[in-house]
Amino acid sequence: MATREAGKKMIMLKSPDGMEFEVEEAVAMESQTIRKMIEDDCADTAILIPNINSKILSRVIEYCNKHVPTTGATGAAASDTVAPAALAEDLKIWDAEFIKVNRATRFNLIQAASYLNIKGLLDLTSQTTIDTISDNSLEEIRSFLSTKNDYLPEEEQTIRRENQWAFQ
Amino acid sequence: MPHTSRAEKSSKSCNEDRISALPDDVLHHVLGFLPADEAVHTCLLARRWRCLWKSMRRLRINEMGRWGVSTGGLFLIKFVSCLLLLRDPGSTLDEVEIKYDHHFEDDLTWISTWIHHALSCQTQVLTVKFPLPVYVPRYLDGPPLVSRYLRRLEISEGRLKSNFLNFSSCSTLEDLKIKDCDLDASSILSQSVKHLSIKDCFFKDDVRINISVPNLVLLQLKSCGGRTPFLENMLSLETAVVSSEIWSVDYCHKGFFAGECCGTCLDCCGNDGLKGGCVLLGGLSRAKNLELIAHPGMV
Repeated sequence: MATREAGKKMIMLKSPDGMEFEVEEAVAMESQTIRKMIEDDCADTAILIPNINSKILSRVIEYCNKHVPTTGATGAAASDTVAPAALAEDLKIWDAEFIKVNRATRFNLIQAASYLNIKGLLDLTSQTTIDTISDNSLEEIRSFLSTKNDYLPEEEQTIRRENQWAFQ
Repeated sequence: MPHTSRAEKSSKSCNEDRISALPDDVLHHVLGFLPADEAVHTCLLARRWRCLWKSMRRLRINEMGRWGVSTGGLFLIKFVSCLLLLRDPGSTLDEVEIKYDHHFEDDLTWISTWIHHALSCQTQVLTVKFPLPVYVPRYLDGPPLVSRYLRRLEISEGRLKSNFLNFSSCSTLEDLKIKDCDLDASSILSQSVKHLSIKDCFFKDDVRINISVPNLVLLQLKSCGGRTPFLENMLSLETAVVSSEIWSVDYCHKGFFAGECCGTCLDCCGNDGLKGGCVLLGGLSRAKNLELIAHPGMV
């Protein structure tokens, strides 16, 4: 239910496992998906966030709380505001701690960031995933991503030949 | 913070292939964080990954050092051309970064062709670095860039002609950074650029470059050599940081005393039909914050 507290408009977010989270509208609008719902007046009652369980949703809200511009402005212009270097550095350190999670949680966060369209969180989760696989052998990457090689040996050779220009 | 047993359980199920279960568009985004060659190599992981690289949203073509100095240029030409041409038709790009660490000895037409192709794929952020051998007087030229999507352009260590610096047809370009470049040009043109940074560049000695960026908000013009540029009026200018190097050719040699400005010579007042106006100060007059470091008699 949208309510007002201390002059700040609140939005209710609901996870599929029944948990409800009351967050400031400005925080919720870090998600471009929710921003659009609010701007289209689709957010009068609680917004159900499908496919994102309460544990992940609470982490996402934690991220948005930290990253919401502190200027108080909620318009598009706020995101253009260049944060002072110290604030940016503080956020970087905070992000590094925030993303120290297990693989399953990180993949859930990627999925949530993508659905909710939160670019900063999607970039953070993507970069962290890539950092762990970059410069590794294919076998190591498969193992890290828990991906099974389902190519036949001859298929694998064909694909390697097709893309020979990328291998040196 | 609320927790449920189901959430706990799902976070522990690490062995299933969760990343392959992500939607294509998410994987296209994730792949863009890998260096482009490694991103293409993921085609060998499993069937699910065979063609994902063909639609990745960002191309990071750098770290060429490991590709070898002697064969680097040829490999680069083949690699970038295949990478761009074998993409899924119609797939768009967000960012392209091409940074080459060695001297590029090959035909520069390749570079401008890649840039034009990247822009035709709706690239919004483009970063280009191509050190050219000092002994070969070759410049990036070709038709002016055209894009309705490009927001940020960063060029370093290139040599650029006027056509390359004519951004009149890049209607959404707001952020332009030029670093360590040799600018053999008579003008830099853009109606849309708001942030312009020109650092460690060399302008021509004989022709004064005209910077015509009327909607500029932030200007950084630092440590450049050659003839001081003429800044046209910038009515929205808020902050300007301008400093000149001692090797600039523009400071008054006619004053009676060292550092005195004669007030009449070309170095004091500009030339090229500028009607005696100040080369720098006219354009900077609207700045709310101005940091100007110059030699006495120079502006």
